[in-house]
Amino acid sequence: MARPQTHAPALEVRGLIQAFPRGFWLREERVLHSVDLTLAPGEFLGLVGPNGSGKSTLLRVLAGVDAPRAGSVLVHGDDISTAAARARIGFLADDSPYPPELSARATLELCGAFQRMPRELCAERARVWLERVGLAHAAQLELAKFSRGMLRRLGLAAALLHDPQVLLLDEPTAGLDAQGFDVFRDVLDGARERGAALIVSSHLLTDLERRCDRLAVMLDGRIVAQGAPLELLAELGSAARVDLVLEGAGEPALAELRARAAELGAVVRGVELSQSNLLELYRRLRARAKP
Amino acid sequence: MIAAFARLAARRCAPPRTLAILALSALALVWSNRESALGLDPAARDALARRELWAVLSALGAALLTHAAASLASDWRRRDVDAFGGAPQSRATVALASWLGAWCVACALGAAMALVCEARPEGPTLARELGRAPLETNASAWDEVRLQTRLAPPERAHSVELRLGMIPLDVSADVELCARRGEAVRCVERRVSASTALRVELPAGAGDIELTLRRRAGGAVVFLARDEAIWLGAARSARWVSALTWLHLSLALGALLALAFALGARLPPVLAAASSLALTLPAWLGEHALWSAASPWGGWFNALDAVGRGSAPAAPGAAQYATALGVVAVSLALAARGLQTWRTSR
Repeated sequence: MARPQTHAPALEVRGLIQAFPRGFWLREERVLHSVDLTLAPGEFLGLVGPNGSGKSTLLRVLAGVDAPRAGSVLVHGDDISTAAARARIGFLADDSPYPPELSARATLELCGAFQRMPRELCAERARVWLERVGLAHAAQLELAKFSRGMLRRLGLAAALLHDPQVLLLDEPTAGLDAQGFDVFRDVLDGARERGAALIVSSHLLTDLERRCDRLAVMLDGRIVAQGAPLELLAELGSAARVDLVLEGAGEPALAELRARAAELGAVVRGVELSQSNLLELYRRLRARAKP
Repeated sequence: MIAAFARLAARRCAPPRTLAILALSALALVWSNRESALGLDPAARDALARRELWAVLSALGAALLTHAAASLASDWRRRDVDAFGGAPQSRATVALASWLGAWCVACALGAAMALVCEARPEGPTLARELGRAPLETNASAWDEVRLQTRLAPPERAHSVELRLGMIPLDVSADVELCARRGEAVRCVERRVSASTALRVELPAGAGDIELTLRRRAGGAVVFLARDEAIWLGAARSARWVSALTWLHLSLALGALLALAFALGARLPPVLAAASSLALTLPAWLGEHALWSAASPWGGWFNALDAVGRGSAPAAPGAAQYATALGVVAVSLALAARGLQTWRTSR
């Protein structure tokens, strides 16, 4: 995909309103209320909010899947209704909507065909991406036999197949295993390196707060707060919580740590084996299992 | 995109269960045809076997395929739109590709049906329909059938056929059908005891034909079952029957599948398929020549009728091609619009 030569923002959303007809009389019910958003090229925006807050609806409109009731979405200066704008978007939906009767390779080739990619280029990219997301061994397998995590990985490959300039990922880590998390991080890093703007939605704050440049919080169809993660957390008075990453700390060390914290006037609310430790454990076990 | 998505649509329209149902039905019909209709002359037995195969398989295939075509739209709304809906391809392209996939499956299955029908030694060469001429009379029941009309036969027509119905107030009636061209007259007389077709050869020469039909004896009420005369000529080969029936079936299913797909974009698949099939009922049950000549599926029912009478159907007329094209174009336009507003109907 050729990079746009404009200085326009990667994504510019103004006064976006979305509504769906509900009930017997099909009365319109607003689910997005005048959303404004700007994203620079290469910027990573984390979109967080509880279930039903409008994250998926917003991403579907930004991806051009649904037409909004009002407002505008510009992708590098082009309206989302144009083919040029749509070709710059890569979208991963919150469920995995790929045809279960197709193989992984055929699905990617179909995605490429929808993106108007030449057939040879599409086949080559499909091969490369299947390898990159760790699905090369399942390239010919029907998607009906895929696990949820495998479908999410395939979705990542499908979203990135045409080298989009704006990447919209809706709950991309749902159902991913430890290896899938690694793939997800690699993919995100790769996309940022080549200057793609990213919006990743999640209802889990911890997924995003460490990696994104900016965090936007959605509630009831509105973006109620946005800013750099630490600034936002400080603003909301949540900065007093500290995650301490320890390696090799046994029970005596933890007891000592609690005592020391108490001396300093802090309370240790809980000790848990965090996911990063589990990840590390999986990595080591996998490395050990390899011949 | 069209080819790739059309292939997916084709795959969805011909899942293994559909192919298995059609294959088992074909096997059962072929097997039963070998055992039944003993005592009939070979040509009539051949015609009945052909009609039975075509009628059952095409009706079954039409029902399964219209439902599958209607489901394509709901598949798009339910799932595909999330995967492909944001891509630069328009909804019109999606609609066209879906319909093309479904129609290709219909044509392929029709060709397989033709192969099943013709998987036997070629029978005697049959007559072939050259066209139909509306009669200036109502198809009402008279106590004494009377008809006198002038018609211009097409070139190469060697005989003309009328369809008669009967109300059995008596066991039978003797009916005479005459064709006059100038001074030359050819007549055929038949004792009618049930609904039947009456065929008379045309006198040699050129010019209009004067047809006369009357009851000569007997008390049964005989009437014109269809207000049209069927012109017949020589067929090149008995295989033409299945080739032309396949052509009619493909045309009918092309329009029917587009309609089912368009309705499926707004209605549940079962309702959409049933509504589409219901639109064919007037042509199937009706006796009006207009439905036969103009509707895209009228030719299909006429073709089955001709096959049962042991003749090859006429090729589809320009009117049928035009209406089929119109139905497909309007349906796909509606379907594209229906796919656009998918969320409101979810």
